[in-house]
Amino acid sequence: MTESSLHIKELKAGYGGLGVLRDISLDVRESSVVALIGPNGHGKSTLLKCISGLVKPWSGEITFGGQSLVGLKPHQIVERGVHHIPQGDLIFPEMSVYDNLLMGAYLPEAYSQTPRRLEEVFSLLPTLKERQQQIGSTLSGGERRMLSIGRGLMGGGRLLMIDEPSLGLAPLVIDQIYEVITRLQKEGSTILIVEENASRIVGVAERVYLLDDGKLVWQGTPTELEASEGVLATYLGG
Amino acid sequence: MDQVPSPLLDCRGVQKSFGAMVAVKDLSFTISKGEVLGIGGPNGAGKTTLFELISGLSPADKGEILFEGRRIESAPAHSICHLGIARVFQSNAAFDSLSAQHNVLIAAAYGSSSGRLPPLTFDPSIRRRAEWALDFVGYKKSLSVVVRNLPVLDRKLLMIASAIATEPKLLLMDEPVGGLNPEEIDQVMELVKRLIANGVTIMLIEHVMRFLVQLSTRLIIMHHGEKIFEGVPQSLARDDTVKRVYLGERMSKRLAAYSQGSAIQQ
Repeated sequence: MTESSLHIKELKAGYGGLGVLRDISLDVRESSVVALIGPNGHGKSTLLKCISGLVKPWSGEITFGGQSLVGLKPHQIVERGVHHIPQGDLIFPEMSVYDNLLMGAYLPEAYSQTPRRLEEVFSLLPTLKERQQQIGSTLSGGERRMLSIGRGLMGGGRLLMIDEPSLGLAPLVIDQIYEVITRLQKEGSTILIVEENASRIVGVAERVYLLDDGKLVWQGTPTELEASEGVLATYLGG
Repeated sequence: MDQVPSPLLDCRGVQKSFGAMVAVKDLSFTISKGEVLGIGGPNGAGKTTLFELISGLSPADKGEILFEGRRIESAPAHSICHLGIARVFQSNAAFDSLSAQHNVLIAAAYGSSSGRLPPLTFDPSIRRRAEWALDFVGYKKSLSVVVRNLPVLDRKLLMIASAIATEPKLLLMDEPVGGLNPEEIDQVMELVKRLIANGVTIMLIEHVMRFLVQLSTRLIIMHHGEKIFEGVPQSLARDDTVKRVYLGERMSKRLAAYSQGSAIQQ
């Protein structure tokens, strides 16, 4: 089965007794880019964590390629082709840049593609090539973020989830990351990103979902979002 | 007699290497009181390392750093803090298992005492200062919440509160708005403007150009540890090297439009 669309229906989740996601339903069509926006602390990262199995949903459905992901362990979800690049700079600090990248390709299928993917990642993020023998902990904050993204690209996932691809990166690098997102989508990957910046996703994302207080309060195209002053003013401060 | 007021901070030929990598290379610049000096540059250019050197967390290999005319390049971090330099860190640098209030109290105590360790009890004056700092940054969440559980904006506000609780003359801010959405960025921008109005001099590292360009009175762009640009924000988009190594086409266009008076978006 090669179908790679994501469907979420009436998803509820939270931490302890505290509800974070309240009845989330959304679809990401195969080979499309969808963006989640909204205030911080309102559930965007939790939603990604539910999909990758890091947070167990209270109720609701998550299906990818027609199969349910609910109840699977994170590594089983990775095996289904769902790859999650979390927020922050979660790298293996005592391993080299090169070894960190290889960790992104630990599944046999991805490992066999290592030389080609390494070349792609190095051409996208040349800094990582320059620093490939360096130990992870000696990288700067932005370089760690690049490494985390590079490692996520090594797996060749069919659904790639990136939590804030532009966080802490130089403007030029953000452009390059978005070029890759667009290229991967054209090559058939399905991509779900969290992005704070509406202007960044124009021309990239097919659809935007706005999450506020654990609920989807608005959806549309990025252009509609930019044009919709009411939405911008209410949720994103204009 | 010297008619020009001496700079608040004066870095002369500062250098720092990690093994074979020169992170900061023969860097010289000054900041006068009341300025906002923005620092930009590609990831790994040495920006945060520069803050390490100024705040004394990592000593410079070469060069001199003068704060109010005093040499500080070999001073320990707590002395530098007591002289009036505070820093807001790039990553989450709070005491995760302590409450919000306790975090700021420790900062206020560290900033005022002559010793390095926080006391077992906090004086009323320290409590008042912590309260003032939390109020100043507009922290609205519960004071007793354990910091680990705070969303990113509140953590950032808390880190700023901790820094200003030491009553700095110079505040080093390392990516204060990374990961915030536009509304939250505006909120922090207002806060920084109030700090400036309160007489705090600021050094600012940020990749969010809207923030960096609107707040800075002067900009330095670093690349491979060296200064490749120094000037007013309006001239940044005209510099070809900066465009090539840092900004890229898209942002250069936006900045050029901004210099001609349009609003800027990231």
